[in-house]
Amino acid sequence: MTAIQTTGLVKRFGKFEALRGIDIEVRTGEVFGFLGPNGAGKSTTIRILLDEIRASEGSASVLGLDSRGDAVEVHRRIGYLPSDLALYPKMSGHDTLRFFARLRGEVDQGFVAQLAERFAADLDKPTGELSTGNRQKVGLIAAFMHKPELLIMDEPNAGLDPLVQHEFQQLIRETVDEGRTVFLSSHTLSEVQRVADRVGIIRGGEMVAVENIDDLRAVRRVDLQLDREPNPEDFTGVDGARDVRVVDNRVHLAFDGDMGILLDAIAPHYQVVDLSASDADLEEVFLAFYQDQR
Amino acid sequence: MNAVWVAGRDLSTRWKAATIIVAVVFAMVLLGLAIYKTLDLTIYDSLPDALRELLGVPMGASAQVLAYNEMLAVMGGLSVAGLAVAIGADVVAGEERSRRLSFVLSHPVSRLQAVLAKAAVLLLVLALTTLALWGTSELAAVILGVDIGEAQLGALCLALGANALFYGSLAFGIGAATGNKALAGAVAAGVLVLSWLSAGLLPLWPEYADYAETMPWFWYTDQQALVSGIDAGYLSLHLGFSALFLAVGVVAFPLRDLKSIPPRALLRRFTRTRTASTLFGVTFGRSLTLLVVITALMGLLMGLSMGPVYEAMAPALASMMETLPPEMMVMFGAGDMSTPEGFYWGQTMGMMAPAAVITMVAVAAAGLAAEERSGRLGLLLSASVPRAKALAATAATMVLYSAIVTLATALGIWGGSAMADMGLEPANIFGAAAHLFGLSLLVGGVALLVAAATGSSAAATWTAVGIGVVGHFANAMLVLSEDTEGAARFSPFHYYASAEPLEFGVDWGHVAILAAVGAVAIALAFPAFQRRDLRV
Repeated sequence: MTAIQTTGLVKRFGKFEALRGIDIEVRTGEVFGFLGPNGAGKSTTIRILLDEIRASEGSASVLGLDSRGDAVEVHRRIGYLPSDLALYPKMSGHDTLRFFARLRGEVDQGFVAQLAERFAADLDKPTGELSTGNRQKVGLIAAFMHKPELLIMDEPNAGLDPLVQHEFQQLIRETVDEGRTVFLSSHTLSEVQRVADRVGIIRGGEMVAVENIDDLRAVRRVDLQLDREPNPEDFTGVDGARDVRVVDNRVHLAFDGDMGILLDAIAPHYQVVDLSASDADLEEVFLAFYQDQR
Repeated sequence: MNAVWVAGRDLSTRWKAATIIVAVVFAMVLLGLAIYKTLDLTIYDSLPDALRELLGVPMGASAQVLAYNEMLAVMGGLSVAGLAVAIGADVVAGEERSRRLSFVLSHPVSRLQAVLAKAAVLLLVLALTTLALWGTSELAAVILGVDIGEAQLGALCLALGANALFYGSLAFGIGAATGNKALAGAVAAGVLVLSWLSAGLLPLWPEYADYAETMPWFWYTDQQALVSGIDAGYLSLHLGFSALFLAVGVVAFPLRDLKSIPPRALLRRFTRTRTASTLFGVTFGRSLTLLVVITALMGLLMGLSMGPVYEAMAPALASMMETLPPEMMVMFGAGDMSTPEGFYWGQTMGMMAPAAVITMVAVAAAGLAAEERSGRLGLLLSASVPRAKALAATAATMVLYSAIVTLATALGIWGGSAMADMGLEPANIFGAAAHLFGLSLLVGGVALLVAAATGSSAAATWTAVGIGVVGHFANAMLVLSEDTEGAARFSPFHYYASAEPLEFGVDWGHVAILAAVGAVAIALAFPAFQRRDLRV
């Protein structure tokens, strides 16, 4: 069973099309990183999954249930941390968690205490007096405390110190080890690369790639010096080649595949004068995805 | 069950305002009854029962019961209706705008459960407020030994609650259907003010008297619940429309997208002025929409249009004044409505103009605290802006907001008087405007001091509203008795109104007292703001 499945998700706000046919499949028991630059449509997608807003076209199912028709049952089985977490400022962390626990019905208070200890959360102060990071800890506990089958988290690391980030990543791994699923949305690769199994990249309301993190790590940076100035289209058509840039007689590209295939593909057109290849920085690969295709 | 938890959490934040209103109304009823006890009310004894009832004195009751009309029916009625609008607009749309509602809805709570819980909160707060008002008003009579005879305080409170529910439900329906808190609040408050004004004016205007029956405030006042008990027809109208508005909200809310960003300001283009690039421009632009609406309301509706209204109603007003002894009008806190000055004071300058300027200065002062809580002020101060400068920008905004509304009101009255050939002296009109401006400086200065000292926008707003409401009604009551007349000097409204500036011209001494207190409060706000920790 897939944890999340969207098909042809379109969302229009007036004339503006925020999502243009998003297809996502998140498998049960994986950490799926949902990456994209600001304004790409990540939060809009999540808000549809949570039935905050309704798709103009297409459908979305969560844990095999219709995200709209079965919204309450979906919400019962998921944990959610929004990017702009808004809590009741005069309620203490304890009271806030007690309130949300009542809405959930069954919450193991021992586990709540355990989470509070792991995150070093201050639950005595009113949440309005907490720092962003400490408020985020309350949100994290609220998302994890009922051991949901699926966690949907939007920018979860906001304001967390490195120690808490590490604890959070540990908890994510423990969650998937128990066969549960995590959907992690972010605009920064570093937030998801340590924990995600796969990443989906959204840009301008469209999914531009869904990749295994390990495959992305296999991408190499290739620099070729040729006998004449090349046409970029001769390279963009090669399987595994992306982020092609041409400067005079040189071509710089990211390549995922057998180098022999690349050399065979260009041999009819150009003579290779010099070649160098190195492991690509993952950040670079993602930047290439983020940039508009020209 | 989850709906109960959601409602319970909401109630925990709403009861404070209701409690304050009940406490203030109770205190004012006590004050009113105490003052009426000191008055010579023998004039009522000479009136036939039918006329006594017409004037609001129930069978067998002492004339002191009239205090309930002023303090409970009018002041309590307006306050509870205002509370209802505030809750109705905020309970769904406000929570949605703050993003808290969407977080609650990410838990196993259906939209329908949530919106029903919110509607229940509105109903429950109003029901409890109504009950508490009933209890405290009965208690006030017992404490002061006032014979209430057949006065139906319970019926009056029920009518008051039903009337408030109408406006609260309207705000709720619009807020739940659109997610726009500002729109919900503005429409419901607009209907409240318009209906309150129309219910007072239209019955005096023979050609349009029938239209008064379409006004919800008229349904509240016309039944004379204190004397005659509840009118089932009017109660049905209030409750029927309330049910309709609530139903619209309950049905519409589950069907629409939740809002994640604030709705566009009505005057978005207008707010994009060059001045917005300066600190003052940003501060001034915060409540520009409200400023334009209130300025237009005061200038055009309450100022300009009242001239022709007076012209049309003059004969009816004259005959009304002839039938009522002047002492009685004083007792109702009104002057001679048949003269141009008395009419404009009664309709525009007496209550509406102070309410308008106090609203604007309260919004400006509370804005400082709201900016602080949101963290934007911290960001501003980190950009090398001294605290004093941020406070000065707010103070300047406050003064300018008030000056604009005051000027618009004065120009409107001037124009209205000229159109209807009422003969009001321009010097007196602008003299009265000086009193109004002085009053706004005092209220705004104190509200700014509270905002600067506490960082609480609620405290600043309640301070301004408290001074306005308590100050106005206390002054109106205190001057009725020679024993208490001296105490009226503690109310800013004494310095605003007692010189009757629209008729006799400005009293610069009184204006100076108002302005001086305001200036001192503003001056004190600077060290208070400078010394404390910001609440971010």
